Amino acid sequence: MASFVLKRIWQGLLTVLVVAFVAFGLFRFVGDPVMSMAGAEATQRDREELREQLGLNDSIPVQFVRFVANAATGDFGISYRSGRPVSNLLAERIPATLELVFLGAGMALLFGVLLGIAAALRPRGRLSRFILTGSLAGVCLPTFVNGILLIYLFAVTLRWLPSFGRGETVQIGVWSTGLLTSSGLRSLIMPALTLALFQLAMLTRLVYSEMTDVMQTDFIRFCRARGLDRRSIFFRHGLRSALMPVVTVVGLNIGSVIAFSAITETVFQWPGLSLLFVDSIRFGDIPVMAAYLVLVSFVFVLINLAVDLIYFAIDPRLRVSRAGAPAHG
Amino acid sequence: MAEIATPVSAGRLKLAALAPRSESPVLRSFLRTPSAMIAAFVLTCLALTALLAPWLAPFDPFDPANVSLIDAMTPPLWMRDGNPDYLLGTDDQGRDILSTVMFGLRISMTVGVAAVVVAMTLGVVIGLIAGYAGGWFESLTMRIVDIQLTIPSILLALMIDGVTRVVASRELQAEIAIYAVIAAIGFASWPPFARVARSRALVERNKEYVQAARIIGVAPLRILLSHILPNAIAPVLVIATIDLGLAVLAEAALSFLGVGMPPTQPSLGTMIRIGGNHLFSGKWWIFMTPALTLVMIVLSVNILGDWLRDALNPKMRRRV
Repeated sequence: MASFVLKRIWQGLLTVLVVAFVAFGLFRFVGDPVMSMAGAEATQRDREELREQLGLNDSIPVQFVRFVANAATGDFGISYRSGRPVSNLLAERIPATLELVFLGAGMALLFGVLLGIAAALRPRGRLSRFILTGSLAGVCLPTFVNGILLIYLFAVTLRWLPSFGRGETVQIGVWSTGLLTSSGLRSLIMPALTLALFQLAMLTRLVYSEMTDVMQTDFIRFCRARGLDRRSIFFRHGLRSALMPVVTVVGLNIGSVIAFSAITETVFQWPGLSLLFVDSIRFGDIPVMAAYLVLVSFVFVLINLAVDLIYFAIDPRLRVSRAGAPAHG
Repeated sequence: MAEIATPVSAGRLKLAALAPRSESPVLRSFLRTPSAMIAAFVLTCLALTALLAPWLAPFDPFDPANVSLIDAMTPPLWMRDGNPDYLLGTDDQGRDILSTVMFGLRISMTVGVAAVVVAMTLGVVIGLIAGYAGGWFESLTMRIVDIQLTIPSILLALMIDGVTRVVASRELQAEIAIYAVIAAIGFASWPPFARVARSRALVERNKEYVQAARIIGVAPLRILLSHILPNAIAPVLVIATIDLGLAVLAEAALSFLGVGMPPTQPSLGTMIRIGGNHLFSGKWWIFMTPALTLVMIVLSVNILGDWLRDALNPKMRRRV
C-alpha cells in the first residue's frame, strides 16, 4: 500500500508541476507582464528596472524554478487589476468559497445518497418513479438557470431570502465566516442549493442504478439463500458494495463542484475565489488566473489522493493483498 | 453469408430482404424505446430550426430595420398587451423573442457541433496513433489525458477563452469570439475520445487481419483509417452524442459568465444572461424562452446518450 500511495503522490506532484508550467507560460508569454504592470506612461528606464526586478532577464528555466519556489510559499505576484498581492486577494476569498463548496457538496452527498436508496428500495414503486423523474430534471437544468429560478422564486416573488452577496460576516482570525449570523446563513441557502442540485440529482441516479445492479448479483442471492433478513441484505451487504463506485464519482465530482461554483458565484455575486477567477478572465488579470489554476489543480490532486485512500478503507479486496490473507470468510 | 445458399434459411432471407434494417439491433432497440424516439424527434426539430432559422424566423433580429424600441418588452401573445406580430413577445431592444431564440439556437448548435468535431478529430487522431504506435508518443499523450481529465473541462475552457481574450485586441475579440469559444470547448474535451480511440487501436492492433495487412505492406496510415478506425466508430459516436450536450451547455455557461458569445451575436447562454436581469422586474418571457430551449436540448441529448450507450453496448452497465 505504501508504494501505491507514494506512486500516487509522485503522479500528483507531476500534475501540479505541469499545471504550474502552463501557469508560468501564461504569465511569462501571454501579453507582456512589464507593460501590464508599469502601464503605458512608464519610461523606458522604469520598464527596464521592473524587468530586472521581476527577474525577466534570467534564463527561462531559472525563472520557472523561481516561479515554483514562490508559488510554494504562496507568492503569486501582483494582480494587474487591483495592484495588490495575489496571495492576499486569494486569502480573502477562500473562506467564502470553502463554506459554499462544503455545504453544497455535503447537501448533495447526504440527500443524493438518501434519495438514491429510497428509490432503490422499491424500484418499480411510485416514490421511485417520482424521485427518478425529478432527478432527470435536476441533471438537465443548467446551474445558472436553476440559480436564476431560485432567486426569482425565493428572493423576488416570496422575498424570503437575499438574492446576492454573503450577508453579515464575522471575522475569526484570518477566517471571515457567514455561518454565525442569521443573514449570513440565509444568504448561504440558495447558492449552496444551486451548487448542490446537479450533483444531488446525479448522485441519486448513480446510487439507484448501482444499488439495483448490486441487488441482482449472485452474492446477494447467496445472502438471501442463507436466510439473512431483507434489511440486513440491503443495507449491510448491498449498500456497501454499491457505494464503492459512488466514492470514486463523488471524489472526481468535487472538482466539478469547484468548477460549477464559478457559475453559482456569478449568479449570486458570491464574493469567493471563483468569482475572482471569472473577473480575472474578463479583465485579463493573468497573475490571478495563473494562481487560481495552480491552487485548483493542487486541490484536485489532494482530493484524488483522498479518494484512493478511502478506497482502501471500504474495499476489503484491496486490503486482502496487503494483509496477505482473507480478511473474513 | 454461407447460410444464404441453404434452403432452411431461405424464409429468413426473404424476410431480411423485405425489412433489411429490422435486423439491426440498434434500430430495433430504438423503435422499442419511446423516450429515445421522442428525444431524437425533438433534437431533429431543434436542429432543423437552427439550420433553417433565416427562412423560418418571422423577423431578422439583426436587421435594425425590423427593430423598433416602441415595441420593446411586449409580452407574449396570450397575455394582456400582447401583440399578434410577436408570438413570444419582444426583448428590451424590441427584437422578436421567437426569432432571436431561433438565431441563438443556430449559434449555440453551430458552436456545439463544431466543438465536438474539433474534440473528436483531435482525440481520435491522437488516440489512434498512440494506441497503434505506442512508445513515447503514447506515454506522453496519455499522461496529458490523465492530467486534463482531473481538471473539469469548463474551467479549462474558461482558461483557454481567457488567454485568447488577453492576446486579441478588443475589436478583434467580438469578431473571433465564436472561434475562441469553439477552440476552448474543443480543446477542453478531447481526452475521452483519445482514450476510447487508443483502447480500440490497442485491441485491433494485435488481431490477425491487421497483422496480415501489415505483412503485405499496407501503409500504417491506411491500416489506421480503413481497418482500425471503423472499429472505433461506435464508442466514439456514443461519446460524441453525450459531448454535444455538454458542449452546448459549456457554451451557454461561458456566454452566461460573459466570456463567450457577445450580445451582438447572442447564443442561448447570452440571452439567458440578459433575460435573467429582466426576470426580476417580472418580464419572464425574455428569460424563459431561451432557458427552456436550452433545457430541451440538454434533456434530449441526455436521454439519447443513455439509450445509445445501452443499445450499442449491452454489456456496459447503465450509469447515471
